[in-house]
Amino acid sequence: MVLEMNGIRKSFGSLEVLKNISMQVDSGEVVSIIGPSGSGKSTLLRCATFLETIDSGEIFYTDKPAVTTNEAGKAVYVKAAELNKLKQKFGLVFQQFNLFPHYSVLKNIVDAPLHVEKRPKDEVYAEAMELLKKMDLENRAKAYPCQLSGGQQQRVAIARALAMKPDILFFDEPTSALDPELTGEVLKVIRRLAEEKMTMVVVTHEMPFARAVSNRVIFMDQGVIVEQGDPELVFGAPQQERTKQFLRNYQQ
Amino acid sequence: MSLYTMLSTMADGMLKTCAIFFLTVLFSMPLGMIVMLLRRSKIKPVQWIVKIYIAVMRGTPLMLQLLAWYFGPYYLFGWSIRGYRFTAIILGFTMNYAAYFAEIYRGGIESIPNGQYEAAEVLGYSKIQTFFKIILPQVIKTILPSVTNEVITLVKDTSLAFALAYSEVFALAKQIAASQTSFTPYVVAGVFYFIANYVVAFVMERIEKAFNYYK
Ligand SMILES: Nc1ncnc2c1ncn2[C@@H]1O[C@H](COP(=O)(O)OP(=O)(O)OP(=O)(O)O)[C@@H](O)[C@H]1O
Ligand SMILES: [Mg+2]
Repeated sequence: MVLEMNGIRKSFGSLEVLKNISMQVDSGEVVSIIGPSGSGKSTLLRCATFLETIDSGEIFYTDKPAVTTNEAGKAVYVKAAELNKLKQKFGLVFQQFNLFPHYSVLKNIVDAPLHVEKRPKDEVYAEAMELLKKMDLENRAKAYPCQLSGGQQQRVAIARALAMKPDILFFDEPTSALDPELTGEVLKVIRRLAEEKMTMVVVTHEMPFARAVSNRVIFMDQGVIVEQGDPELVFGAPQQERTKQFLRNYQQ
Repeated sequence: MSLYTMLSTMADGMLKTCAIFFLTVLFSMPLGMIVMLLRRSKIKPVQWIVKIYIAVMRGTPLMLQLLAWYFGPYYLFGWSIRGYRFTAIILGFTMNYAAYFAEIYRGGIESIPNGQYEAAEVLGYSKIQTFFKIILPQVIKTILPSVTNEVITLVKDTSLAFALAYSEVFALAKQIAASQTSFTPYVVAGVFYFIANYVVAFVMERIEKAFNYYK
C-alpha cells in the first residue's frame, strides 16, 4: 500500500469539508477522483500532501505513519524531520502549475533534487534531460516558464515532480487551467505514466480520460465518498442516485 | 566670485549631499526589511506600533521630522549633544525612508502567489531555502521600479537638510546666491541634482534589465 488514509476529518471553521474519508492506494494503481465543485477533492489532496493539517484520522505512506489519532480523537503529526522524509514519497501537480518563474525549465527540475535531496549533479542533470525527453520538451530546457504554453508548463511541472522520484503522484485538475486544445498533450503524458505503472491520484473533470486511464474512480460529494469502484461500473452503471445525477449533468 | 571658486566651494556641499544619500540608502533599506517583518508579525501590539510608526513617517512632512530629530532631545530631555547635527539628519532620513521601503517590501512579498510557497513546500524546500531561493528573487524584481522611484525622491529630498542649517549643496547655493546676488549657484545645484538622478536612474535601469530575463 503506497498511501493509506483512514477516517480523515477536516473543517474550515464551522464548515466540515471532509467527513470521515478513507482512501487506500496500491502500488501501480491509478485513482481518479471526480465530484462537483466544493465537494472537497482539492482539500483531500492538500491534506494528503500536508498542505492542510487534518483534524482527525490517520495517514500512512508505504506503511510509515505520518499522522495518527490520539485517544481524544485529535490528529497527531509525526515530528517535522520525520514528516519531511515522508514528503519525498509524493509529488503534487497543481492546477496552476506553480513553476518557479525565475528558473529555467531545467533549473525548475533539477533544483530540488540538488538542494533538497542533495543528490550528485551529473546524475540529476542526466535524469532531468531524460524526463524532458519523455515530456517532449528536450529542446526547451533553457527556456523560462513564461516562454512556454500552458500545456508545456504543466508538462514541466510534471517533470519537476517526477524528478523527486515519488512513490505516488497527485494531480489536482491538471488540465483545468488549459485551453481545450492543450489538454490533450498533458493527458497523453499522464496516460503514458499510467502505462509505466506510476501510482497516481488524479482529481479531474475529464470524464472520458478518467474512464479510460484509471483503475478506480472515486465519486465525492459534500465531503464524503459516495461511490467508488471500477470506472466501467461507476460510469456505466452507477449505483447511487447522487452519482447518476452528477454524471447526467455532466453529459449535457 | 569666479565660477571656479563657486564650484569648488559648492563641491564640499555636493560631497555632503552624497554622504546623506548613501548613508540613508545604506541604513534605510535593511531597516525597512526589519520594519516590514515587524509589520507582518503575528503579535498584534507589535503590528500596531509599527503601523503607527509608518503612518507618522508617511503622514508628516520630512522637514518637520528632521527638526524633531534635531531639536527633540533638547526640548524633551534638555540634552544638548555636540556634533549631533549630522547624526540627526541621518536618523531623520533613515527612519523616514525605512517606513517607505517597508511598505514597498510588503507589497512585493504579498504579490507573490501562495502557489509558489506551496510548490516549494511539497518539493521539500526548508523555510529559509524557500525565502531566499524562491520568494526573494521574485520580490526584488517586482519592487525594483518602486525602489527606483523612492531613491530618486531621496536624491531630491537630501536638500531638506538645509532646514537644520547643514551646508549640503542646496544650503550652500542659497548662501552664495544671497551674498553674490546671483542665480548661478541655483543653476549649479540644479545641474548637480539632475546628474545625480541621471546616474541613479541609469544604475537602477541596469539592475532592472538584469532581472528582465523572465516575466
Ligand atoms: N482555506 C480554506 N478556508 C476556508 N474554506 C475553504 C478553504 N479551502 C477550501 N474551503 C472550502 O472547502 C470546500 C471544499 O473545497 P475544495 O477546494 O476542496 O473543493 P473541490 O472539490 O476541490 O472543488 P473544485 O472542483 O471547485 O476545485 C469549499 O466549500 C471551499 O469553499
Ligand atoms: Mg479543487
